Amino acid sequence: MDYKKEAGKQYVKYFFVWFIIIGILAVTAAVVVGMNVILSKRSRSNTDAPDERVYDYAGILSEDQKEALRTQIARTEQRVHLDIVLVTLNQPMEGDGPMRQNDAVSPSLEDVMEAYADNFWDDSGYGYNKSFEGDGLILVDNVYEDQGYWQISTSGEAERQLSSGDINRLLDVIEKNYDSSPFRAYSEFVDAVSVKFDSRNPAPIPYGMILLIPIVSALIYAFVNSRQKKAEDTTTAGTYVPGGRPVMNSVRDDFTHKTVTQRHIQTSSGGGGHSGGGGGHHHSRSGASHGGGGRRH
Amino acid sequence: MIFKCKNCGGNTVYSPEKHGMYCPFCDSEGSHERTDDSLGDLTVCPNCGGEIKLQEFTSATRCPSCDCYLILNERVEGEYAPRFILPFQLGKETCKQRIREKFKKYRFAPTDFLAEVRLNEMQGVYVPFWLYDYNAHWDYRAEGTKVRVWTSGDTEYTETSYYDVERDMDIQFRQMPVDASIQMPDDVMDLVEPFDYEQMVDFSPEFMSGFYAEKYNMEAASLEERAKKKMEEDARQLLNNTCTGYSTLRVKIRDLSVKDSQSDFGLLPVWRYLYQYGGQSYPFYVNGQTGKIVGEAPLSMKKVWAYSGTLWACLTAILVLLQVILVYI
Repeated sequence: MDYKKEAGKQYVKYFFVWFIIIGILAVTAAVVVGMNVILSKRSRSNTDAPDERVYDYAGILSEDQKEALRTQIARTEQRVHLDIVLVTLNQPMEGDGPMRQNDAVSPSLEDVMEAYADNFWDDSGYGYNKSFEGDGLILVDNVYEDQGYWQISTSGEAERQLSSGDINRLLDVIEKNYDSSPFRAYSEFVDAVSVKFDSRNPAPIPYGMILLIPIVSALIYAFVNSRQKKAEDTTTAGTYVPGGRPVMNSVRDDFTHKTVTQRHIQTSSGGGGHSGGGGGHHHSRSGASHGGGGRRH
Repeated sequence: MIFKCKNCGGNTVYSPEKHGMYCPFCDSEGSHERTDDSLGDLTVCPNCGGEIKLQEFTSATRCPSCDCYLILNERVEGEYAPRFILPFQLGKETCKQRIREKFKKYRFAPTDFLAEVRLNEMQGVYVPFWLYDYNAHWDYRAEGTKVRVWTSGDTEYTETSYYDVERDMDIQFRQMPVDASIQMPDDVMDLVEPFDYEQMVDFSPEFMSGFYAEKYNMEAASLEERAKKKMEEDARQLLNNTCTGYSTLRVKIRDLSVKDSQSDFGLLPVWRYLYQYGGQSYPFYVNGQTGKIVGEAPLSMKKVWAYSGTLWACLTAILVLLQVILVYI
């Protein structure tokens, strides 16, 4: 008998079901990924918005930098299904004039910047899926004298998913990189949006688990299947006693006395609490709902 | 002595399946007759004249030249005559099947471990046992306590009840076996137990034809200590079984005495399978009456790595593919 051949047969038979499951999953994964690629290319449904995503009115980006950002945004949009728009300004955005011009609720820099960003988004008809309250976000950076300000305005899915904490984290990313170069800050901002919205982040099954589960399972499998016991001891104390029981000549269990002791039980009580939070939203002059926030340079 | 068939002259053997003597050459049953050719200097087969190598305690063996089963008169008679014998109840085929069933799910055994050609090397051996009888007596007295705890309001109460516990009992141990073979490991022989003595009969050499056997390797007195230890362990357990329900027992008197004892020599049936792997010997013992198997299969490290590694790879592949599906769905 060819034992190697026999061992191979036993091995294939043992893992046959596993191989079938992997085959089915591989085909399913291929189909799902394929469908996803096809659908993601066709899923942009808003045709009203302009193709331009980078408006460098302040003139702080070189042509190469603008082109690099356009490419980066286009790639990110396809993955996260959001429109991402960048606007740089170098103009006064504080006071009555800018307030009237932008229909802001107050002359403060914060309100004017917020109104400008919302209006820019709405008036241009941005939004990945539609032109009114469509999915996406806009970053407006004003570099005018002492009115430096970053404003992020969100809409649709971006508004729903980005909390004020998330907006602050995005502003942190911009602020951290801005001193080295505004281009780098914008690029990091787009990356941060990508990380936040890409369905691959966070992964449904943590990568640590993908590493750990198979290793632990294989070790347990090897350990359990290597363990053997020569045999169980199947004799009992009565195996060699006729009838399996001794002959009882006398059995006495006589109660003599009892004692009772007592102890005081210490009790304690505790309490708990909860915390929560939330964020706010606003409406632009066109009536569209927006979220977001801003920060001075 | 040799048992030969009256019809064809072939060597008749005891068949566990047929529960009687059987001639494998002409299929006759009960056609045996005993021939008492002397084995002379114990080096030559009286049937074929071929050379045989007998070990010090061998009482039955097979001639490697003519495959004839030989029984050594002088090692089964006189002072070496067993009083009882428990004839093999399970044949080789049944034992092979039992071993296959037990180890078929053991993935890491070498592939040829359960191969027909290997299992055919299995030998039936009558192992010499001293069977001890003891009449033991327990005189036991103790103070027992039972504790009950309950709470009322913010107070916990503990009630301890005290009892005078007394046990006076006789225990008759009958035919407690201790193997009298040096080559059989004691712990393994203890695990091969128990044997059902209902099927034990007075010794007759016919039952040995077809099997290997040994005379006792040591006297009953030299194994007495091991037998007593087994008896005392069982006696203690039987006493403990009658004293349940107490939280504590403070012993006052605990006296185990043996009134009288005796021992008999008997032969008990064991199938032995010696498997060689990686330069090591892996012995397996099967109770020739109940089929209980004692032994550990060897570990093929190649198989451990192959199977565990494949399981690891399969699980990793499944999780990665699930990840991809969940991400893109």
